[in-house]
Amino acid sequence: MQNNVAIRGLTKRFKDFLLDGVTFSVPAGCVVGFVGENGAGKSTTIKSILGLVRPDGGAIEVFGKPAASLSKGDKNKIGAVLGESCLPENLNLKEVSSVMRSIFEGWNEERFFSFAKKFALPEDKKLRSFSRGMQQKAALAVALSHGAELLLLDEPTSGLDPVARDEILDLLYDFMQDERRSVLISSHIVSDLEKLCDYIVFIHGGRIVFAEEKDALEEKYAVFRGSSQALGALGEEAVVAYMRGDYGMTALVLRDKVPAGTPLDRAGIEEIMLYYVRGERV
Amino acid sequence: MKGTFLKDIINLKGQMLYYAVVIVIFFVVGIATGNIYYYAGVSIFCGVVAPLSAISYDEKDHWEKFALASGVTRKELALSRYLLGGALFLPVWALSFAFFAVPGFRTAENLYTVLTFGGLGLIVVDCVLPFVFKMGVEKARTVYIVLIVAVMALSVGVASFIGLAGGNAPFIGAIAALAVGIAGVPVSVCISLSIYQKKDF
Repeated sequence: MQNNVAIRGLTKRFKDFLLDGVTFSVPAGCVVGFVGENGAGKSTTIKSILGLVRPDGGAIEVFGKPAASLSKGDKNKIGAVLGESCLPENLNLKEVSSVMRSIFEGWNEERFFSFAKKFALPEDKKLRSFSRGMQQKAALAVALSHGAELLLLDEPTSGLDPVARDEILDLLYDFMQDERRSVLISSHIVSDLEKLCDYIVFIHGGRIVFAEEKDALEEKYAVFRGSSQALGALGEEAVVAYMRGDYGMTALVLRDKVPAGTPLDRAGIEEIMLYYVRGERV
Repeated sequence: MKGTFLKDIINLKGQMLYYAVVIVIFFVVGIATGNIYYYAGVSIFCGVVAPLSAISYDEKDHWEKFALASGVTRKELALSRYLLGGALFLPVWALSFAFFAVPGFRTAENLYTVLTFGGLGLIVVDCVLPFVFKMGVEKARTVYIVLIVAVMALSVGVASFIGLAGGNAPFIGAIAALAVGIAGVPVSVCISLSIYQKKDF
């Protein structure tokens, strides 16, 4: 399978943070969810792919080329939403469109205004009068209106109500109808990622904890609930992390290491994250 | 670069009227008082304040992140600021020559003044922009204010110099200011590009 993004050993040092050997890929035709707590390194990784941050080590390839040597045409094939809307708030959508026409070779004005209409965004009002959700939608409309083949979305649904989030997820489903395309999306709203993603990459403290197919995660992990004695009977190799509760112990366990017949609950992505970040290790 | 420049012009559209009013007032004051220095000072103000305002908007909007992610190069981003400064400063400065349509203004002293202020305007832009790229608009504001005070002091000095000095000295001073201002542009651009290349957004 061809990768639209391939990251190998990405390292970036800050005064009080280290992004350490980040390695994962975004295959063509796939949506990759990028999860992790605040400050885990998600935005730095996405910025490194886009050339906004200069890595100290490692290699990043986009469309098979080193990220640092992407041409304007290559960059035009990337649609980015970077947390903040990043569009000039003093401009209205008509003015935004005229600016984008000069930035993107494949700018599709008709498509942009059809998104604006779909999102009920007024064309003549300055963006500064938009709510945060409307600004996010405007940013997404821009990202989807210049023939992008790769979407890099850093928290695109934060600040949006459930209906607006659902609309955006629908748009991303539509975008993914072409198998050459890919999406790398980071979000705190893990339920959105569970609906949308093919792969989940989990980053914690600047390091990748896992990068796996979403379905494989469900097959691999489960949640065990029981007494500390019952947990101990599972064996050390079965327990990834555990937490003490008022009514006993809960643990994230590896399904294939747990004795057959042990009652287990499904582990969602959010639970897997929580155990890795807050759980105690055996 | 075209897109970024166009965005700056639209962004500053509201302020353009304000600049135009200031320019007209100082032009009229200059004509009425027979003193060209008022207007010459305003041309420097316009050349520096416009790019600073544009950068200030961009910092608030996080525009640079979007532009770089979309294929605009770091070089284009830096150059577009100089282009904007030049696009505002040069026409306003060139308008200084309109004073010479009035017979009473056609003196060598006024010509040297206009030329000297042209050079000073370029020198201020050359000095301010690298600081802004390095430190951001807010932190660079102190540098900008110090520079403006220095230019005002220099202007008083220039006025005295042109008034008192005889012979070719004022002419040589004017040409020297222009030469330093023009020669400073590529140096300033190189420094700014070097700052931009190393910057994380």
